[in-house]
Amino acid sequence: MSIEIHGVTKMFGTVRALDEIDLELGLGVTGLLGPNGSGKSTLLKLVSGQLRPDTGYVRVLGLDPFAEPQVFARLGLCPEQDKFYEELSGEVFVTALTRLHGFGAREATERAHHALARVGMIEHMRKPMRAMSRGMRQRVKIAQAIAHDPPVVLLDEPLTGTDPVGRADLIALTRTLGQEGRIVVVSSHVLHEVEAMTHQVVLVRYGRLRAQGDIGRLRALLEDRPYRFRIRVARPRELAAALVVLPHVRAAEVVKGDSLELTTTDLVALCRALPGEAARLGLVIEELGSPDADLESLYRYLID
Amino acid sequence: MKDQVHSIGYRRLPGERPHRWVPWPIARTALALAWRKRSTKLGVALCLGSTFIHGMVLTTQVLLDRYVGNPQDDFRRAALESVVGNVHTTFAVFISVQTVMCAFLLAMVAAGLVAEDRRTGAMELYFSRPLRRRDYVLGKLLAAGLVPATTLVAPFLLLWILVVGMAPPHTAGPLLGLLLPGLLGTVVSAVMLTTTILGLSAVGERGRTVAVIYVVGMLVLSSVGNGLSDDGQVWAGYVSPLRNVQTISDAVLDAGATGMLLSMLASRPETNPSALISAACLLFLSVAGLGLLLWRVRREVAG
Repeated sequence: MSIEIHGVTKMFGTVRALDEIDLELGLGVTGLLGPNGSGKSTLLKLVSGQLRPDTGYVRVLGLDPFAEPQVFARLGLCPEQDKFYEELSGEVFVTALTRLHGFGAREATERAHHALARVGMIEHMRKPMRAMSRGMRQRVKIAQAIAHDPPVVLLDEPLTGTDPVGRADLIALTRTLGQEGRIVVVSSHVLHEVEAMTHQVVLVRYGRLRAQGDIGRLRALLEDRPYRFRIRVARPRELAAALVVLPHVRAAEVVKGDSLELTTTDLVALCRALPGEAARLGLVIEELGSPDADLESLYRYLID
Repeated sequence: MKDQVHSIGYRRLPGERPHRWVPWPIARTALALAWRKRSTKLGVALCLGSTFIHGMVLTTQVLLDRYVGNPQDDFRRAALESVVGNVHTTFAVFISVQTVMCAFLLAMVAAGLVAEDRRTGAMELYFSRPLRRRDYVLGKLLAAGLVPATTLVAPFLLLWILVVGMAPPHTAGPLLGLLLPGLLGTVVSAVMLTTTILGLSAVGERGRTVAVIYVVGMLVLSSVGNGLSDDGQVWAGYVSPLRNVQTISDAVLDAGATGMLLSMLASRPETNPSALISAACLLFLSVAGLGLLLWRVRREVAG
């Protein structure tokens, strides 16, 4: 059960929106990341059958989304656009779209209510869309994408306009969808939100695939980019003197008098050596962490 | 990698579902949306008002014929007709007037059916479902077609039943024969209105703009057609859709002169010399509208 994208190129006139993309997305949540205009939405449109690739092929659960519309019964799409039928209530909107999957009126209504409850909109579902806040509309859009229980869910910028509480709820919902055994693809450029949902990412820039995989493992693959590692300790200078002699430590800098920032090419080796050196010097490590082992650093190195 | 058993909790697969006709939910949503507009309700009220007035005229004609008219007295019948008109003509005028009303109503209900879907991105939502282009087109045709069906075809049927039910025995027979010609006139008009508004909606960018263009276009074509035709350029009459509808209605219903009563209530367009050419012109409009709709949907969904 996967989404396969093989050798896909998509041109818009003379602009190459996607260039020879090879990708396989499996179960769980995958974050699709890239700056504006990088080709994220085009990729989602290809997966959701809105566009036909110029070269290569896309298979969703083994079916061609452009030629075999039956795949859409197993696919839920939350598009980026925020303008829909303003006069309809959320309930009517979700029910009407669910009915297009072939459900009867009663079942479609039940499914719509269930989906609206999952996104926390059951109390406001009778409000017309025009009276809803941006965050509420986002939730309704997500509800219509999951109401028919699809195994594949595509979410294009799902957290846009949501308040902090709503954002936390939607992040939790996205993770749950992934844990339920669905393929969930989330397109976003808000890195910390994606990181809260998943560690599996796909990075795209200028229509080209920059990286795909687990954030930690991808970071480890960037051998030419040393890690920065920060340690809060009582006597940072002593620790610096002890660690700077290690072959993989490139630099050491004392920050604000109580922290030591090391630059290393081998984070694992440093973590192995650190407890011994600290114990030898009688130092208590109060806090440690790597400020550039997260998604943001990965993004900065690969995209910016 | 950590082994993990995912819970698979899907319900029936789509293939196992009973097949349901999806154009209906599309049409239903469009109509539900239209009904929320005040202008739609006003348009429906106007259509009902027009039907009521024509119903009153028909009732007057039939009752006068029943109680005042004398089947043996041709002079008396002719005098009566010159005052209140006859049923054939009233039906023909009804179809023509109701076509105008219906065009206004359609502009409110159906102008945004495709244009707004494109503008708002709803088309993306529609076609991310197991929906064929045909289903979408049928859904929109159904939504738009229900408007003339309920404001033109159905009222004609009701009025016909009213007239036949009240008619004196000596006229009931000929009035029964009005059913098929009347239905033909209303259906031709309904098809022309439905396909042209959807064709325009398919190429337009906003529902409101399409509505204005549709109404203004109808009025301009009618004015130009009538004006040029009155100046002796007979061919120009075929440019006017409303004049074509009146021509066909008059021909199929065998309508005569409008009585004084009806001429006070509604102006009746002049007619063209050939009902066949008028029918061909309306057919051309319908085919053009349908062609635009199919072309646009195909283009939107073709990627």
